[in-house]
Amino acid sequence: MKRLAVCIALFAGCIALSVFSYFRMESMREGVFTRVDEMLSAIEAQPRDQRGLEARAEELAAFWEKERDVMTHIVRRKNLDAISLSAVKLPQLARHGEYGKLAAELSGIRKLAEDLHSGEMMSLENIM
Amino acid sequence: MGILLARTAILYAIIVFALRVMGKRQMGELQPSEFVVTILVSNLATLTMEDADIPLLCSMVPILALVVYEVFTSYVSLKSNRFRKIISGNSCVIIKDGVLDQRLMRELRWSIDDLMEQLRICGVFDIGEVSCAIIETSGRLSVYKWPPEEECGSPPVTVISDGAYVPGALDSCGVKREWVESLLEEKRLAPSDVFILTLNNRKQYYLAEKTKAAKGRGRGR
Repeated sequence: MKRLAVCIALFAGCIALSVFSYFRMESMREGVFTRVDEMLSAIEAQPRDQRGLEARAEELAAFWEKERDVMTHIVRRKNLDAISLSAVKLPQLARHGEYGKLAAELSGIRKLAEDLHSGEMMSLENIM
Repeated sequence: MGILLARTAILYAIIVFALRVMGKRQMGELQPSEFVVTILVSNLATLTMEDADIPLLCSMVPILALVVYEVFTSYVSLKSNRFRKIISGNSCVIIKDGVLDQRLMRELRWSIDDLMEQLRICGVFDIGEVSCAIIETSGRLSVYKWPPEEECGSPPVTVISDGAYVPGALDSCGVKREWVESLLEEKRLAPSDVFILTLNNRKQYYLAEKTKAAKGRGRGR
């Protein structure tokens, strides 16, 4: 019975970890999408607020760094590295007015975050 | 390198813990599912030991999940005969009363060389010495030799297991159910009180009552 109790506790722990990673992914996706969409809207807006864009880019890069620290415990590092590489470029692109490249990098980040999220979801497609 | 060292230490501790939770059976004879789980656990641990890119949790969670599934399967097997048969299969009598069951050997894909090898591992070099040989669910061969003439009896058969009669057991040892019931009545036991009762054709029995205190209530001849 003791062994069974240990196993039930272990299983509950595994379920709790799965639930935690699901909600973390959701929160990451939500955070990245919101910030990326805001920046893309800011790029399209006329006149462009360069300082505002720079601040948002810094904020997105900082947000991603924080998320990455938790994500490294859940997903493979190379999947995160691709987003990190793009995120770190954003403040410089905004500072130097490279809005085309900035928009491209933002779309790339959005897509990578979406793929990361959908790859970790509990679906038959992912299980198979 | 330090990271790999630390990960190896953590995974080693987890594997030792996993083997302890799964129980001593992992150290001895393995059932097919236990064998598979043991191999899977070692492969899962290897993944994160070799590749620091993969989070430690990606090994820990599957290993612990396998341990949990294995313990649950063992627990359910203990409670349900039918489930146990599905998971572990049945042991097969390949030699009965000195006669080799060739049809069964073909079904099991055992050649005579395989059989002779297993007999030699059991310390039997002459197949004629064997009265009964059983292939257990783990794949091992158990051998019962012909007893000395003065003790001639068939190998004991489990008649009651965990409170229930084993179908076909009484027929195989040629003892009537009434005799078993009278034996139990004599000992003031119901079949449901019996943990194990073995019998041979000479009515030599071993009985263990289903309590914590009394183990091996008695041997009888």
